[in-house]
Amino acid sequence: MKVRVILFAIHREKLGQGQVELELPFGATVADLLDGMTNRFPEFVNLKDGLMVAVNTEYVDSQAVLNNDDEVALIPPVSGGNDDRYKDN
Amino acid sequence: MIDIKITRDSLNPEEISTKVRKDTNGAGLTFLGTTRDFFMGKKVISLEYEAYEEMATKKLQEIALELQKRWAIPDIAFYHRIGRVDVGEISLVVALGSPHREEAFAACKYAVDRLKEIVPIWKKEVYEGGEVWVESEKQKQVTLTGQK
Repeated sequence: MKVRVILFAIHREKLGQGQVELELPFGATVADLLDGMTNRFPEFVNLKDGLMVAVNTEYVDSQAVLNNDDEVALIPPVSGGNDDRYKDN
Repeated sequence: MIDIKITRDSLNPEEISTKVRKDTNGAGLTFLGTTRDFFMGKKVISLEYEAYEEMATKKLQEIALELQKRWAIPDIAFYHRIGRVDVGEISLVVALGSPHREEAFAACKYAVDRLKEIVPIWKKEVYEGGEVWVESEKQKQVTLTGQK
């Protein structure tokens, strides 16, 4: 299945694009997607601190299961927030 | 009344405050977020705000509904500017119209705190010789561009 990953702020600048399409196996989770991002962009490993993830504009945790055509937004820390829940995934 | 806007245009606080003024509201409270001129001793030239607009609008709407539920604030306006904002200009206006002031003060503090936690809007400070995406105060110190 295919998901569209959208990138903002520091992620967009460091990875040089605002949008990435990832091919993932059916049943893949957000954690799998983040692994996929690291495989494709080795420097992504340094961009996970405080990261939050939204699927179709709603925050989800790393175990959330993805579906074909999902829009997955990787959300770097906003000015006050600081949540490390994806750091070790 | 809930009025939410993410815009590239400059914000007019008086106009936005007027939206929440009603004869049934004894309190009108307006909070302005403005851009500061110094960051860790460096002079800021301008700021650049970026939003995930669809989700930011939705999260602002959720916060407004929360204010209505928890503090019974009837009239709420959230305006956030994106794009380049010069130092001293207004990047955020929160205007609340409420029958009573205590609820308005509590709700306004909550709204601004919550906005910074869950609304996907990012700020980049541009200064002479560098720029940085602003995270928390602590993270700021280690993510300065070119100073790793």
